[in-house]
Amino acid sequence: MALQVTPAPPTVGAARVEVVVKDEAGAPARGGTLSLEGNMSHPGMRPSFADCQELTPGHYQGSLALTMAGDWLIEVDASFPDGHRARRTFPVPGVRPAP
Amino acid sequence: MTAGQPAAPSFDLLRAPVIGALLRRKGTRLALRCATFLVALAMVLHGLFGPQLAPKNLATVLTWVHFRGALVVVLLLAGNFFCTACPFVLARDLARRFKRPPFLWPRALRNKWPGVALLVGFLFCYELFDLWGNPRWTAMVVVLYFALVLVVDGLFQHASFCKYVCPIGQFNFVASTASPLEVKVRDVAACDSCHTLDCIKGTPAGSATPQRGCELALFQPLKVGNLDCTFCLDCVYACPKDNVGIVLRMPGEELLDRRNRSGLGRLQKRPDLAVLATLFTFGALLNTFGMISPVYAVEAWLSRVLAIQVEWPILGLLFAVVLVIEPVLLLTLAAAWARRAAGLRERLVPVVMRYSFSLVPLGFGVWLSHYLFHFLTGLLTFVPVVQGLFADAGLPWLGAPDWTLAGLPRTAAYPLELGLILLGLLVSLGLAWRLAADDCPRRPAPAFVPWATLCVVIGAAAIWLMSQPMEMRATFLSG
Repeated sequence: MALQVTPAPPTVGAARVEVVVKDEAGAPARGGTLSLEGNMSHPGMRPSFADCQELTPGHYQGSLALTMAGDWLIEVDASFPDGHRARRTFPVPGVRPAP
Repeated sequence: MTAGQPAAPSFDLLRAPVIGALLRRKGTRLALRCATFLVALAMVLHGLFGPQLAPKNLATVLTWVHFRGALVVVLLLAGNFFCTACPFVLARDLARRFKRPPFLWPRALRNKWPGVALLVGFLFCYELFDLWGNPRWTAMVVVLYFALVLVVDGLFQHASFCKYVCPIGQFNFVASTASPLEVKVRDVAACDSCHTLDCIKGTPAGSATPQRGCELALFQPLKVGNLDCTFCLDCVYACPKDNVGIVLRMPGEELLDRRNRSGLGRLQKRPDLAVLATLFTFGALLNTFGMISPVYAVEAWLSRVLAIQVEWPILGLLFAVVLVIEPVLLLTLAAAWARRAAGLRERLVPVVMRYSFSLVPLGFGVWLSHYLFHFLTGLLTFVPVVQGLFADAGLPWLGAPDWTLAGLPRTAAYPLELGLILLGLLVSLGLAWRLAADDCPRRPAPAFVPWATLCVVIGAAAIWLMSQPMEMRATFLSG
């Protein structure tokens, strides 16, 4: 599983989050249901949530609100028709203030 | 014997309905301490074994959002009641049932220097190790605190830890000088006929109602203000004449008081207290600076200029500038200007020391502004954490965690932040004026203007800091 946030470097506001998921054989993992949860690295902030759409096989995209500058952690929760489930957290450090 | 205090106060919390009766019962204090002990225990366990994501862990959420915020609110609206409910004292008292401490605190350390060093060390570690973002480290800090209390008060008699060591306590002592309530003798004439001095000596273990006296060496009839008072209420319980109350007073006024204080001496003769007051004020600016965007630009610039890639020397330099060089420079300049303009004959250092206390309300305003921002914007964030804690333990009684709960919008908190800084600034200006009027009764303005300028500069810096976009990063090298 790989994750990319746009714009890069990320800024406060809506961020496009792209997730590429492959199975153990390296083939695109199709038909998954992916949800995103963004948390800041410090307490006291409400997390952001978003669902992803599958754009092409194994390539998912969602829009997540990054509400404050600083370090974020984005957790991807993926489940697939064959029953597989994967959860992974990606650090997104240094989100900049809105320009 | 008495300190020439004014007539009986108008409001006494201990005589207020319900709350007064509750506070007069020793069981209330014990219940409060047990409650905070249980909360601390839950925080430690969750911090060590729970999810290691700061917004989802009780240790980080309660410590850095709720405890700090509630602490300054209670200090602003009432007094040092968090020390009343201190869980560390509960642990200490339990330990002392098994072994009494053999030593007296060393004479050379009977001052605020250990507390000052620990407060600086704590603020430094907070930034360096990003304690706000690390549940396990936060839990370890709580555990270390308990260990330190047990070691210090296991070896040394009385409340040595509270009076000389505890960095939270030193913060509370200084902040509580701006509190509206004070533990104080109700009728000083009643103390004149007292020969047992129970408020300081206590009553012996074999007596009908054994009760310890003030462990912080504050003899009630000669006690002035809230400095060093933990609001433990031992003096209230000990006084056979029921002559100690929690009374209303003018916040900040004690900082002008030049009388000899029981357990402290004269403020103007205590450089350690002046340094603590200065650290309290400039530390507020530094702690706020650590949470906004420009700090990373400054750190990155220092990193480039000094060719250093590790954080601690750069952070150390920032601390040295803001907590040592800047205050020394600004206070010296203000004192030199005031001496010259007003023709003061006093030497420079005593002037700096006396006026440094006038900055405390402004510093408290900045701490309030900062901590209330986190407290109000994250007020309800503990709810889903507690829900999650129960759910993870297989007890989903509180329902699924509702992560939409937060608090006030940041824009709503901003006016309050500014108001608190301005309130602190006004009180500090008032204190500086009173000091100047004491120094130059006929023409206070020349002595006042330099200190007023300093207050305005610090206030403006605080407002600028609060107006910057907030940014919390684990390290300046990230991103």
